[in-house]
Amino acid sequence: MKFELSFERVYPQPHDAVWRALTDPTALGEWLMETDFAPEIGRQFEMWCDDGVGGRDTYVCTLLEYEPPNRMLWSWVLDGQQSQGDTYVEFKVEPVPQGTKVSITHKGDRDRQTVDKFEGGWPHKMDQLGLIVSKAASS
Amino acid sequence: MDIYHAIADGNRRRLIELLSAQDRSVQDLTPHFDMTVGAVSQHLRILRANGLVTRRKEGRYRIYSARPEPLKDVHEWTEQYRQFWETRLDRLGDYLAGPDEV
Repeated sequence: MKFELSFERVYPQPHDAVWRALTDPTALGEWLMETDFAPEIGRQFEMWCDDGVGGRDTYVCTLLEYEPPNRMLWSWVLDGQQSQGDTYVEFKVEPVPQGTKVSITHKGDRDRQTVDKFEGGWPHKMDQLGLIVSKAASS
Repeated sequence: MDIYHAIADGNRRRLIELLSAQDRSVQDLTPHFDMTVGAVSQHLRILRANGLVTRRKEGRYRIYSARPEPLKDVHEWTEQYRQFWETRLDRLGDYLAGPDEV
């Protein structure tokens, strides 16, 4: 099924602190997944996480578009599902009166179970992002 | 983790066998097992960490190959026991042959 999931969250921290948490591999490792991300357009990177049943998933990603400090677009595919095509994750960051708004849009074509996993996963990840930026701001 | 641990698991030995025959992606390997992609991926990670499998990038794909060189140590270790057993079996042969020679 085709899917397009959107999530928004406003964080009280400044724009640059939030952008840093989205683009620094160490910070990404703390809120999203362990990764070898680097801010270089066209570069492939991987993300690794436990699959919940004793294994370890590898996601193969590419940084397709990069417009610091406002927007970036990743392709995103589980290693082993390349035949199903890429999914796309877009991050948008903008200042709002209460702080910084982050919008994440994930779209592609996957089975219901996988879409449910994404739908349940991103809000949790965005909570984690909040913890990371507040920790970075207070240190 | 050492090489003996890496090959202690039957699934990992099967992965080495499959990759010895042909380079494959995790997608091609998974149907050969009753495991998820993530579990196969985890086993491949362990094999890579021990140098038994290498990985290269081909576009979005990650292609795995077997690298049997580290198994040489295992072979050398077991080889001394082959010699030991052959000596024992030779002696047994001598013993069994003995009465006929009397």
